Amino acid sequence: MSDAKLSLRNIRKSFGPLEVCKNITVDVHKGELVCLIGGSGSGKSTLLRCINLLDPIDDGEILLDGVDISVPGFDPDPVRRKIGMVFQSFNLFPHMTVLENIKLAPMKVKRMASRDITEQAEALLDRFGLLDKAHVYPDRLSGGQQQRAAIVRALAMEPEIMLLDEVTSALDPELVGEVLDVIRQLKAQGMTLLLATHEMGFAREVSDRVCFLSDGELLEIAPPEKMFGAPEHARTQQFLERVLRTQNLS
Amino acid sequence: MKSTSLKIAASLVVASVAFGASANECSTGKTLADGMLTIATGNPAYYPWVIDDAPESGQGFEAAVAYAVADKMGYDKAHVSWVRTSFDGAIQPGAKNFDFNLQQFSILPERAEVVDFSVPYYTTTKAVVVTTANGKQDTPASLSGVKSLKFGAGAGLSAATFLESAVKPEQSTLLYDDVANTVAALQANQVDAVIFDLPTALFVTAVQMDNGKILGQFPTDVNDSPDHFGMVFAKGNPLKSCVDTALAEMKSDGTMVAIEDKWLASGAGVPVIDMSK
Amino acid sequence: MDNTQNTARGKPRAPTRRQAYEQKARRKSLLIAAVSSAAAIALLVVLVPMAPGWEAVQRSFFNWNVLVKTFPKLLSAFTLDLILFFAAAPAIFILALVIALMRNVTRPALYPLKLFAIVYIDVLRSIPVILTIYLIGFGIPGLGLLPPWNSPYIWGSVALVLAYSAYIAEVFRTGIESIHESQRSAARSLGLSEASMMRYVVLPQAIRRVVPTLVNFLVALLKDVALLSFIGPVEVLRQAGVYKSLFANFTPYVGAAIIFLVATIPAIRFADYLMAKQNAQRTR
Repeated sequence: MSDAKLSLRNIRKSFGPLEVCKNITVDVHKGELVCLIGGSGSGKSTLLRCINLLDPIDDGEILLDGVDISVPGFDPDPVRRKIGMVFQSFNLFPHMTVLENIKLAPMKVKRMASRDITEQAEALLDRFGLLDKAHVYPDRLSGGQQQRAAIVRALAMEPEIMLLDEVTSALDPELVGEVLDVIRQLKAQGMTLLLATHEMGFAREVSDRVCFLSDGELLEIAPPEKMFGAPEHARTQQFLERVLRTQNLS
Repeated sequence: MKSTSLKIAASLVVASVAFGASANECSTGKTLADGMLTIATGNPAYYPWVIDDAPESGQGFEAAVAYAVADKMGYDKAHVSWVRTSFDGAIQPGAKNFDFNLQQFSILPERAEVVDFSVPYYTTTKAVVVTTANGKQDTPASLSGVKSLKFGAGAGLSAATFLESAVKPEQSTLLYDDVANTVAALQANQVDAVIFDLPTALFVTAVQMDNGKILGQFPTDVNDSPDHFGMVFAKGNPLKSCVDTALAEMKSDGTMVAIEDKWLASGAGVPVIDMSK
Repeated sequence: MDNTQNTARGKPRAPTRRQAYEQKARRKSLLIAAVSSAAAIALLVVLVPMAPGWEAVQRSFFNWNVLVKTFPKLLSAFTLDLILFFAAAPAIFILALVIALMRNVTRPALYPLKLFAIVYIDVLRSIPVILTIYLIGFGIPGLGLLPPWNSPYIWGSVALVLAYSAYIAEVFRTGIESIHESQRSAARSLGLSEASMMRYVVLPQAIRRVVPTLVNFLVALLKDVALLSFIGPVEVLRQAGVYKSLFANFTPYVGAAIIFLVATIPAIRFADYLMAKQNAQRTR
């Protein structure tokens, strides 16, 4: 427990009367890939935003390397350097080229020299097959390319853990594969990953552990074989049956 | 037709002397409203041309001249009505709402192509006003002296054109909508000197400013100087000849001099700017 | 698409039925537009001169001799408008940006700035520009400033800058608020500070988005520079007024109008073009 990279302890979060995280506790270990699954509004995205300190939690603790980063008034900026986040809608900066998108934070936050970060960014782009898009503006890229660029942008800050929030949900089906490949590559390199996803097949394939959230509650944590083979909870079973039926159809 | 009316006029000649009916006959059928003379002035009308912006009182030089002209033409005070126009209103095409308009319009040949002017009812020079507050009061009253000043002037008062042709000041002139704004600019030191017709300059230095001083008046033999003020008529208005006759009578019988003496301060003693230096 | 296919195959193909139909429809609508415009213009040209006062109006407003005599001087007076415009515009841009940022401040300690910005915008937007010019252009020099610091050029420009920066601050604020929250989330998740986020992510997008509105305001500004004539400067409108008074003729105003038209119509068309381009992007 103390060796966890990221520890969530009894997280509670409400928006007005709506409780979106109900007492969530989970650990993510170094190099582990943990998937959050569950229906829309189950609290997956909110949980990720809370970990990145984009939204404050109401109660509980978020420990990064054993340090509570959820203390009110804690400076969020150093934390965010260690935690990279990628969004469902990419959120690339449309007025900057791919390379400029990637260079912005290392230059302004880490004060890196432009030349150093350019080399590093080009190496990353090359690794993910985007080098020829370095000087292209986001609106000229396909969804899959944009999402890969967004992942590279987060990676350029050299985070210790990455949060991926349904990064394939906004993509046309034929573009999902290239983004999933990137995630496989990240896992292979030993990155610690926490991702919210609807891709059940992918979750089953790459996860070390899977968490099922329903109405803000963490109902079940299990290795993928167990989660997708013999889930304990009836609601997990119903959810998986419903999702797998539609995903098999498509 | 004409001879009949002449006979009637002759038969009424005794009475007509008392009522000025001979001139009245001149204007019959030529005025805007039958039996009424409609006279226009500025809005507002300024001292000393009209006192307290109330021409109906007959107080002030132009108000007095207007009533005297009306009288010569056979209209008593009750048969004169006043309207207000801007300069633009006086010169715009289309029907006019006045028989004649007086608000210190300078008679200029360019303007005479669009409107008709009466013979001059007043002739004046232009004068330079300075203030003792800005240290320009000792500028020599010569062409080279005034050339160096930064001038302000009223935009509609032909002063801008005059400055350009006769003085050619070294700094660009600032122009204002009316006398009040021009004086305000002088008092704010935004200009060194302002230029007005002499009666306005005398009034401004005597009444509106504590520290105003007339530096001098321009001589009468330079471009566009002196200024001749005339009444404005719609182009081709037949009433013009009646008014011209009335004005000529006023000049010859001393009425005009009396009005001038009553309403306009004497310009005697105002130095003349030496245009040769 | 079809064209590229045609050339790819190396030989032009006869237009498809759809292409032929569309071409015919296009020709027809062009013809209708040309004919109806020509008819409207012809009516104006024929009917207006039939009005009884036309000759007088023509003499007073469209007098060729007066135009020829006055136009060169009007044109040189217009350079003063341009100088004042180019002096005021950058100052307006910077001040408006500062006010907009102050207006957007969220930190409680900085609330006085926000309050100041709110009052500034409210007051200066409520007062007619001409009054601001009069009050500042005459009022401040009257406090006893010495030349050249009491110049109406300076204070008139200051008045324009104050009035327009209030309007444009609101334009910027709308632009800033139109940038989607997800852009801020992305910037913050990368560890950018509030200031860096504003400077590198939000503002560049916000300003781009409001450029068409800005161009429209610049056109209005160029026209409002003429209001400075009220406090002394002899720019094109005042010069036209002087000629109007000299010639007792309104043609110099028509000359000034022509100058403004020529100067502003390209800018207006440019703003329309930018607006259309943005709309096209948004719907893509």
